[in-house]
Amino acid sequence: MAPFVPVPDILTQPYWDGCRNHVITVQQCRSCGRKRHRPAAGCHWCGGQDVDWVELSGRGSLYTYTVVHRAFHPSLADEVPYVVGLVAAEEDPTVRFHTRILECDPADVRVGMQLEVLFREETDGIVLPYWRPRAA
Amino acid sequence: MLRDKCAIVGLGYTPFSSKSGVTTEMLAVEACQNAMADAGLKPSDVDGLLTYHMGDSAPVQVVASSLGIRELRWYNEIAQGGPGNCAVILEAAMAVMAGLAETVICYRAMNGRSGQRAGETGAAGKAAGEMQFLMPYGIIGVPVWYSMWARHHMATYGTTREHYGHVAIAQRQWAMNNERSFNRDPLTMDEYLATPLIADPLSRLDCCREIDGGCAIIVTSAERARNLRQPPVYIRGGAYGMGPGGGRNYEKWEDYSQLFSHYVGPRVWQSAGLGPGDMNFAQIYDAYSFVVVHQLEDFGFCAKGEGGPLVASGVTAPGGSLPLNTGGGMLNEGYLNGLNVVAEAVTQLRGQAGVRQVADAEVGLVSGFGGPQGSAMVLRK
Repeated sequence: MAPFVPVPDILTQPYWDGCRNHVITVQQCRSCGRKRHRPAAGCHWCGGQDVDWVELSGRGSLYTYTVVHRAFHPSLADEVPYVVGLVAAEEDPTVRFHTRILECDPADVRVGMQLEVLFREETDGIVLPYWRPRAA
Repeated sequence: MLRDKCAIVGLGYTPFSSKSGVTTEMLAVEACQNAMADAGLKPSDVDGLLTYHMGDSAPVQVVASSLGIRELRWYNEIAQGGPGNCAVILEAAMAVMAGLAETVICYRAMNGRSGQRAGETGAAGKAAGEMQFLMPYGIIGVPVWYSMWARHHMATYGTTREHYGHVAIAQRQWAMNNERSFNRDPLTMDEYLATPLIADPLSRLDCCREIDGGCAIIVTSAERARNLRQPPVYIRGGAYGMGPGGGRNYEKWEDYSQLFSHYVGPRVWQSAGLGPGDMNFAQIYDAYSFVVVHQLEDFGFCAKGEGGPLVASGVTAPGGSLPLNTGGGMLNEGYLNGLNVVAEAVTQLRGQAGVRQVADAEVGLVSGFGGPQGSAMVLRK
């Protein structure tokens, strides 16, 4: 169980709605065509403000990570050591997601490792995407 | 153009502690009063006041009132952390050059240990806003976010924990001669490597010490500076800003191994008309050991990826050719959000650093780090 559940807002609700349907969705700029995450009021590539929400495959690679040894919240005391990281989407590696890496021994985590998304229901209506190693 | 038109003329501290027992307003007032005494100025000689903070300090107007500044002509608060250290000095110079104020006190006051602790950001409250993408995963506490930046550099350039350890060890050597430092004992590589990790690759020896305290620095025109008590320290040049993606949008930060300094570095050198080879020392914002290595590369003290070997070569330690964080840095003196990093540069350029004085220190670099955003300036005597 996650230590905190996300509190969606009007900008991020479509992303969390996608998660509830077990798909990763991101904003795609109608001006320049670039995809982005996290959701934002404007495109950091061109400033365009109109978007379409598009689905990604849920495959990616690990851009960077850390193994957390100290619990900064009491609910994490039994979780340490755990692995968190930043995942680069297969379709566009500049589209990245912070996440917890599951099903991965801390000794085995490597930058560049191939990952796939894994959805878990946390509480009513909130589904969190996690990522785990993917066979080559 | 900034070049040498303004100068730093006053410097004041409160004691640094783990529990000040006073409010941030009281810390601010004490630091500002000490800076005025250092400069030989009275409250009536000051007409500008500026601070930066992260919602953890007293309002600037309250501090102005308690200082007895009867007519404040210019004031502001910059809502940010590390980059604020050089930003306040540069903003004060801008205000003086624009004629909005003549003499500006810049200060930072915080109960960063006994009160609101920056290092635990994200450990309380709701997972809303930017935190909705971090807190649910246990990405809580600043060392957890930042450790991923170090890991990216290690994976890209082969930087090692030992390289970061050399930052901590060299700075500890400097800290042994700083009476404000909390850490005065020598540090060995064995001890560094044996210290338990907080978030891989960072242990507590890679993280600055959170403290309570205040620091104030007074900026005025070069003309007025020449008639005051202390030797003037001139603001030679400066720059601040943010790289693409940037901000707190760490998902969108294009290249984790390039800090703000990749963008601000060339502009600070252009502003100063000087380069890294001209510096007699560098005071590099060191909230974490690894950000020193990455900034040294970005500022051009070595090629990208060679910051680890550069520090390991010993040049940044006492006696080396690139004296760096000569008070021991925030790793040892404590996290005053970097205004103490500026203050150490001023102390060196005045020739008042005592046993840790860098011989013939005439010009040095100071930086303020916040990841993809940050600040830097060149100060000279």
